[in-house]
Amino acid sequence: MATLTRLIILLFAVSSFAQTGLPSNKNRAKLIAEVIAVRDSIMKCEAVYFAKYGRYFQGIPPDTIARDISLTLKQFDRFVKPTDQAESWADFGLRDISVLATYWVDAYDGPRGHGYVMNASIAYGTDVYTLSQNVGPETWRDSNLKFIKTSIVQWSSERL
Amino acid sequence: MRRFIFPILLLCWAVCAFSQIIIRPLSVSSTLSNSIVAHWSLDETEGTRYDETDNNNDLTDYNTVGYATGKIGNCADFEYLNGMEYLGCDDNASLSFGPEENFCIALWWNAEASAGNMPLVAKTDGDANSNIEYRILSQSLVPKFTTGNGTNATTVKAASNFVVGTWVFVCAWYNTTTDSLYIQINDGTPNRVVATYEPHDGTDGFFLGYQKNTYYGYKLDGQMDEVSIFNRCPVSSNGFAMADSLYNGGLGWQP
Repeated sequence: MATLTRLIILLFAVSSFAQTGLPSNKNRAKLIAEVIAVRDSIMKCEAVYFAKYGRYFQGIPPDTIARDISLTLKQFDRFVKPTDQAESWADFGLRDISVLATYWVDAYDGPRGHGYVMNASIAYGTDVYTLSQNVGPETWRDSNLKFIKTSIVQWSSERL
Repeated sequence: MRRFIFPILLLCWAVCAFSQIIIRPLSVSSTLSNSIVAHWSLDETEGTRYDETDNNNDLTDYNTVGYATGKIGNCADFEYLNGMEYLGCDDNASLSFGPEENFCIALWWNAEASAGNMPLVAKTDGDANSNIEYRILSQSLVPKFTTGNGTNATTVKAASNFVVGTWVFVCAWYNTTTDSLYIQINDGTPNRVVATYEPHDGTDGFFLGYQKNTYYGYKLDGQMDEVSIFNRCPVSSNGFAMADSLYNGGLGWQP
């Protein structure tokens, strides 16, 4: 029964994500399941981090460009961090995982309070799609579980 | 004699008051204050950057924008390597301009890097022409002002560039009468381009240092101070005095 419930939840989650505008690909379902799992992980870690520091963790992308959906899994580089934050993804509590997409977290502090936006990007050839999930008062930053086709996604540490 | 003193004093006062009304025009400073729709002095050291007008366009701090000594007081200090640091707020009427509305954006920028596309001010849903409402971009230190009608966009390039390590004043505006975009650097002569594609009033968020949906391709490295937006613009009939008043001989202006 518990297995059936989990299966129903997974099917619901996958079907809700299926209406995201992502083009079809053999890795799409795997990507969607991955995004859900990483998102849940980040949300748990952010709750702990906020309780400890009174602000949310900023996670910078571990890749220099968005990875293509056709590529195989790549180990998440958990040791990158901005120069003005002591903690890396590893310190944040993210487990050692391998992923298809590129993830990052923008943390914010605004007139309505603290929050964060988790982003996941994936390339389809020359097109890049990004999903943004907001947690906090700035609901307008949320892409409503949709991948939006974006103009440029390049996370080079060198200047363009 | 004594009975004449009071009427004479009264007469003098009336003449003085009258001459002030007739001779002294409404000061530029007061007209600036009357037409301002947003002003961020960016003196805060962290968190929300407050709009000093009644429109309350307070800006959220994304990824901990720093601060430094600015043109007047403190300024916002954006670092390229710290992930994407920027400030922003949701769309609202006071920051939105259609093709029938004059508007003007002024700010001070001290670049800390020469290369790259740096969106100083952007109200756009991406980099495509179809997305841009308005934007001031530093493209490898070349200041550019763009407006778009929802399908296509028009850009005017400034006559001189930003300089790394130097505070530079930039003033960009759209004039409905001439149907043109202008951009002026410091107290120089503004460059003008006819707005083939005029501004449109969209629903995109407003940002300093970021343009939506162009993740990480466009980010700032530099310091910004005294950002103002007005619902009127400099005009040629008085030699673009409004822009010069904002430049204020290189001292800058605050409401």
